[in-house]
Amino acid sequence: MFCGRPAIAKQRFNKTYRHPDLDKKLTSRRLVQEGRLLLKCLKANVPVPTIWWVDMARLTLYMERIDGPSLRDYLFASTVGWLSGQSHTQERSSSLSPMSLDDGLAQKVGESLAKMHDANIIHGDLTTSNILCQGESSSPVRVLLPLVIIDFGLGYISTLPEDKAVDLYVLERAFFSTHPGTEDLFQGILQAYRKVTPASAKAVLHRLEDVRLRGRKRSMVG
Amino acid sequence: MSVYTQTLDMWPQRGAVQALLLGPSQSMDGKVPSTTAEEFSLLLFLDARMLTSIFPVLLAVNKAITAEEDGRLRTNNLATEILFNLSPTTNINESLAKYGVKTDPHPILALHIGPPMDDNEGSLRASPLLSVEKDLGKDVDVAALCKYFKLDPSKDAHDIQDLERMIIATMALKGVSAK
Repeated sequence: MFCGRPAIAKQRFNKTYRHPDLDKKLTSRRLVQEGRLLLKCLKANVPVPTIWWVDMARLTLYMERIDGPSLRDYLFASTVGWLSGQSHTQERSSSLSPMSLDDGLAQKVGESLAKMHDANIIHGDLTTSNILCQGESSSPVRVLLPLVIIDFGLGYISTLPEDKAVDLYVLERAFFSTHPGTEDLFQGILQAYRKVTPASAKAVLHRLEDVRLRGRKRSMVG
Repeated sequence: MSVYTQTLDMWPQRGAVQALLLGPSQSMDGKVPSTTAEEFSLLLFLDARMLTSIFPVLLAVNKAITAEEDGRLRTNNLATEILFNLSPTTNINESLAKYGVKTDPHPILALHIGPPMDDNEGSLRASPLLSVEKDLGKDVDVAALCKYFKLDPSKDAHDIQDLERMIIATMALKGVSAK
């Protein structure tokens, strides 16, 4: 609790393997950068936790606590729930079939990422663990929950389609390695991404094809 | 009406933050109350029209006390530091003018920081008071806040919660820079 509300304190520790001067510079820069990106996301209407306080003396960020499972756990639970037939016992009216759940989920993730990239914010570590599903932990797994993107610690500002494409590529790799059989879901995310910002999405998705062929790192030869 | 009391988790030794909301009829009739600071106790009056809820005030108090404990106050004292922390700019005079009590009738948030006072203490509680939790934010001047925080009322202030989130985040990032 912080000032009477549930909070998260994210503290950056000193890395003893780095030179103290460099460590101080990098740590404080990343702390400030994360705070600024969260504010920029908020202004761009991207769902992120509200930043409450940046304590530079203690290298700590205080922010709103988001209760709910990560998208990783949510996808896993919804798959397992459907396969084991548990969801048949839950309310039919409020629940969704896996197909419509995937569509809604893809729509939400795609929209959020498009808005984030439209504001030239690059997350830097997009995985299903860094997207939270806000809601009661007891919510039925087949009910679509609001999504919140967290952990902008490696984020930065860039207008380059290359950086945005790499961001999407990292998410794609995370999807395919953690959740096999979600190719359609990821295609849905890209479709929703294209729909929100058609003009800029074209260049980003075109670049994504190149990134897929060569991997995340650019060749420095030549 | 009960007094709103909140202990700061980071600084329990500094007592508690107690708040009372006075309606416009209990305003000071043109007399601006002076802020008095004692050793560990402080009384402060804020213009409630500039506050969406008590939460931004608690954040500002927490930040101000931390700055005082660390010896890093940017203004003269704790009271002005709290007002300064509430504003989006680094202009101290402007923060005092925006969040301080004005001469026209308006709701006032009275803030006491220090050892919690008993119900019988203080003369302010003699008059009927509004609820800090329910009524603070009802008279908020959205247009003035949006202008001061450079927000677009049509885009950023769909509801009071959205507005508050923007304000809190802007307050948090004020004057923060990498070393």
